[in-house]
Parts: sequence; structure tokens; C-alpha cells
Amino acid sequence: MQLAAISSGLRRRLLLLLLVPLTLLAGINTWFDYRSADNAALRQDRQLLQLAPLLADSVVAPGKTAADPPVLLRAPAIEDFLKDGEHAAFGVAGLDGQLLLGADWLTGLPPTTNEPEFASEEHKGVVYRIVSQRFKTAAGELVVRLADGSDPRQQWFSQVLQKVLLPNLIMMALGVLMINWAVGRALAPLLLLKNAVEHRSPRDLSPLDADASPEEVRPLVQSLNRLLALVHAQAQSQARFVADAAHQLRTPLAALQSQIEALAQSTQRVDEVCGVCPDFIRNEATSLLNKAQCAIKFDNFQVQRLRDAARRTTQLANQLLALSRVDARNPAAQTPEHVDLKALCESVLEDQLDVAAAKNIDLGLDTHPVRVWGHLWLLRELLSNLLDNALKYTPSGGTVTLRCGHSGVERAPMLEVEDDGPGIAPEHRPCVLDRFFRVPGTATDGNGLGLAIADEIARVHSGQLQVGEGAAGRGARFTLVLLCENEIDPHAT
Amino acid sequence: MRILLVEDDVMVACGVKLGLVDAGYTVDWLGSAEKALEVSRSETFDLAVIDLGLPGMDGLALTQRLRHEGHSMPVLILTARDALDDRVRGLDLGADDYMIKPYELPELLARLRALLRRSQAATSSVLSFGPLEMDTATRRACARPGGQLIDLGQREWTVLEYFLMNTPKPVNKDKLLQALTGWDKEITPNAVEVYISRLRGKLEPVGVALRSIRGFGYRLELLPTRSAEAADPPVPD
Repeated sequence: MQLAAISSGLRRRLLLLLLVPLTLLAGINTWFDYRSADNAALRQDRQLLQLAPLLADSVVAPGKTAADPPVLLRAPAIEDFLKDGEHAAFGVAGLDGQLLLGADWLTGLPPTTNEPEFASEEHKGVVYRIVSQRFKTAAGELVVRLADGSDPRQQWFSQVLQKVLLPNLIMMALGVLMINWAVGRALAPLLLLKNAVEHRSPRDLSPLDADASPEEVRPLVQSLNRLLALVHAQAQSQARFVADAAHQLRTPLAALQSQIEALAQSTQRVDEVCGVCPDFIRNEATSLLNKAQCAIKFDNFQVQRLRDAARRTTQLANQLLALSRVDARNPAAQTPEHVDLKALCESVLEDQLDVAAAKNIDLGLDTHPVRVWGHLWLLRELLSNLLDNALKYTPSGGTVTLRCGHSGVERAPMLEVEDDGPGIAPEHRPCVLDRFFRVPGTATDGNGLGLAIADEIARVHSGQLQVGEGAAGRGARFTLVLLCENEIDPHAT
Repeated sequence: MRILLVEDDVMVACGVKLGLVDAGYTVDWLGSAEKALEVSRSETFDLAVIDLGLPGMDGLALTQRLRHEGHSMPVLILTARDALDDRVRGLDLGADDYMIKPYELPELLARLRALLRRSQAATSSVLSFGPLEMDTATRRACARPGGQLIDLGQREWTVLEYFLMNTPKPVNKDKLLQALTGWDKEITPNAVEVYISRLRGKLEPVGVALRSIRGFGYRLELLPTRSAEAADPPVPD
């Protein structure tokens, strides 16, 4: 169907251009044929007209009695006519219409005048041209009839059908088939080109092979390649910009954050020491603890907020950098390594245990040994992002589980994070993996990049990141399902 | 506790120094690896925090040189996030831990405490966690303040020692089992659970908890009432 889709225009045109003259030719052919048949018919009529008086002259005497037919002595011309023509007949009838001599089917009303009358009549499947004329003969006034079954005008229709229309129709049908075939063959390189463009991953911006396409299309391929190169350069410079910006951002951010972290720690300790003591005592205590801080009298809450903002900005810079690095990563560029998903789950759990403990979330594992081919730091980034998300949205007292093992009938290797938090409404699920998308109404801080990064990493691994609901219909579940080919045989050494 | 800080970015260095000083450490800040190497020859430090991206000699080379010159103090590497190979190489070249910049101070402090605890355990016989102190030489465990003795069975002692050696990392149940099979061939997962529950009964009154981590193992934690002490820095010298 794709074939028809692309070539229908060209094919339809070619067909039309060829069929119209073919039909015209067939028409002209038919007309000439008709004309020649017409001429032949006229000649036949003239011959019949010449023969009719000869037949009348052949009646030499009346019958012996009134009941007997008149005596007929056929003239040589009549004899020849009857002998030559396969379908030829004659008839002699009285003026009352009664047949006296000849073929018994040649009857009919006698002509009213002395002029010859022509008629066409079918007898036993043959169409005859019949001439009837009154003559005064030796046996009185009689009607003579001559019939000729070789009338070309009568045969014309079947002849035209057989000799003209049928060959023309066959030619047209063959023409259609051949045009189809030829157009298909001629357009094959174009179709290949179309398929190459169509099945290309949006990430693949490498040029198309111009030499493989036909000469006429080459300029098109070349302009397409120029466009691809432009887009590629643009995408690269954009990725480089994001990476550079994120990278450059981190140095001042590190400074900012280290200062604020130090400030936050000391104000927190002041708070702990003083409790709900009056402001002036607290400020006094602050100055005792650290002279640098007494200049600006922050309270603990404000500093905490400052610190959170710094941490979030840092996270954003890190995630932007991670995203640009996944984007720029050509999966083929780096060889995959062995990744032990179970060990990965344990290591990520260790990293985030403190966050979970602080929120009183039961963070646990449900792991089975799986080893896959992959990029360790990318998979770690993916799992950290998913877990980070789960811990962020799961309320205090909730449960978050990291899982790895095999999923489905195909036993494909999988990595999963499940929580029993508020979950994601089905209508938002298709969007949560989009960059900067945040479920409307969520209060928790986040920049909407974590899941986009995870999705990107899943794609780099030819896997799929599925969004669903947790056990018993509560919470959210994010599952990375990898291809079976990605798994390393546990028995392999 | 004296810490050597090698960091060329003034702002970052000030922040780190502020945080560490506030946490009770003495900090000597140097801006280049060459100077740090020079100072380390005459002074002794309990720990070094080294930035990877230094002008001149970089952090990796410095770590290698320090080890080469026989310094056994723990080294924590500060690294930019994208220097992934570097951090693996850093660990190979003798660093004890790494942190990614920008970092969160509580985590940095926790890692420093863990490093110091491990290095002290190598030189002194006392292991400590919050109010808990274990003297492996005298095989006495007590709770501070007050020095109240905690009576532990031999196997409980081994389990708790394993926890203290690993804290703040969680302990994998399988690995704990492996560590215990050395002296008792017939130990079962159930037996481990028995020791854990006995230990819980003895540790919780002094403010230390053994948190279960579903599907993984356990972790030594401070009970919330005593958490203020958890952030307690080591006594400055």
C-alpha cells in the first residue's frame, strides 16, 4: 500500500496518458472498419439488384396446370450466385404472397410497387440481405427474391468485436499491467529512500546515502542531507550549550551551597541550644558561635529555606547536565558493561536511606539476581531519579520498594520502584515522562526533569519505562523493562 | 581533629571550612597540591579533604603522592559530577571516599565521621557510635555519658562489632551471615535474627536502634530522642 501511496500520482498520470490515445486509436480503427463494411454492403446490394432481373428472366414458362409452379431455367449468373454463396437462396412467389419456387422461408408480403425492396432477415442464425422485386415474367407478374447470407454489414458487429475491440482491450489491459510494473520498478529507489527516511530514529541525523538514489532524485537527497546536517549541528550546539551552562553553573553553586550549608548548620544548632528563647538571646548565642553570622540575623527557618533553594538549584543543574549527556550519548559510542541490578538496587538504597529514615518511610528491597548489559552510571541515575521521586511524593509512614528481577511471560529483566503514595492519575501518566511536566497541584519541590531523564536512559538501553499504579491500586509504580537479549546468562562465566 | 583541606575555589573552601569548623574540627586550608604536600611533610593531619580539579598537580596525583610518602590518614575526594572515571581512579589510587560537588553538608560530615571512626578503629581499640562505646581490647561495651556497662554475649558482641565497623552504612544480612560463619559453622538466618532482637533489647534503653531494612538487612541508628547527640562533633583538640 505504501507503494501505491507514493506512486499513485505518477502512475495515474502515466495510465491516463497512455489509455486515452489507446482508446482514441481503437475508436478510429472501429470507424474505418465500419466504413469498409458499409462499402462492401453497398456492393452486395448492387449485385443483388443486378441478379434480380436475371432470376425473373429465368422463369421461362408457366406451370402446366394452375397448381403447378412455373418452369424455371436458372441463368448461369444465378447458378453461380447460388453455388458460390454458402448462404444464398432464392424465392419466386405469386402476387398473393404464395411461394411458388425456391427456399420456403423466403416469404413475405409482396412489394407494392415495381421498385426493388431490401430487407435483412435472420434465418437459422445467419442474417440475410434480401431483395424483393416485382417482374413481368413468362408466367405472368411474379415476385422474385434473392437472399445473401454473406452480408458484411450484418457480420460487422461480431467482426468489430473480434478483430478490433478485443485486441484493443487486451492491449489496454496489458498496458495497465506493464505500466504498473514499470512504474513500480522505476520508483523502487524512490521508495527505498522514502523508507530510509521514514524508519529513521529522530535521534539519527546522519546523512542519507546519495549515491544509492537515482540521478534525478540525487539533488533532493543532497538538500535533505544539508538540512539534516544543519539540524544535527544545531542540536549538538544546543546540547553543548546546556551541558556547558549546567557545568559552569555548578562551580558558583558549589560555593553558594557550601556557605549556606554551613550557615544552616550553625543556626540549627543555635535553635537546638536555645529552644524557644527570646530573639535577643538567640542572636547573642549566634554571635558567640560564629562572628560571621551575627551581622545578618537569620532565623533557622529562613536559613533552611535558603538551603533548600540552593539544593534544588544544584539538583536542577545536575539533572540538566545528566540530561544533556544522555542526549548527546550515542548508544553505540560506548560499549555496554555488565550491570548487576541487585547490587545497583542495594547501592541506591544505601544512598537514600537517610532521606527515607527522615521521612519515616519504609524503604525496602525485593530483589532477585539479574545481570544485564548496560551503562552502569546511567542505570544508577535512572534508579536514583525514580527513587528520589517516590520518596518525595510518598507521605510519612509510607512504603517504597525497589525491585529487580524478571517480568512477564518473556521473563524480561526489569527494574522497578513502587510506592504507596498518592499515585499518578491515569490521564497524567502519558505526560509524566515529558520534560518539565509536573502533575498539576503537586506541592513538593521538583523540576520535572527526573522522570524525563529516566525515560531517556530507558530508551538508550532499548528498554521501556512503564508508568502504572502500585499494588492494590494505590501509589505509583515505575518499571524499566529491558529486552531479553540484554540479560547476561547467569550460567555464563 | 585536624583536617587538611585542599581546594582552589575560595568560595567553596570558605564554605567547607566554615561548616567543618562549626562542627568542631580544626581546618588547615591550602589552595594548591604542591603546598599541601609541603605542609603534610611537617604537620600531621587526621584526615584530608582534597578537590580533584586543582591548578598544577591535581587531586589524584596529590593523593597518590601522599600515600607514596607514607601518610595513612583517610582521604576524601571532592569531585565534579562528570568526572566519573576520576572518582573510580581516585579510589584506586588510595582515596577512601569521594563526594560529588555541590554536596550537602550533613552528608559530608557523616562521611568524615565514618572515615575518622574507621581510621581510629585501626589505631585505637575503641569503636563508638553516638552514646555507644566498645573497647575491643578490654571487650567492654558501655554507654556514654555515665559509662553504664552493657552486658553482651560473645555472639552479640561480634554482631555489634560488625555493625560498628560498618556504620553508617547498612549491613547486608547475607554479608553479616558470612561474617559470622567464620566462627560458627551452624549459624542460620533465624539465629542472626535472635541476636539482633537480643541486641535491640539491650541497645534501645541507651538510645541506639537497629533498624530493619526490608529485603536487605539492618542499620545502626540513633533513637530520635538522642539524635541531637548524633550530630555531636568529636571533641576538638
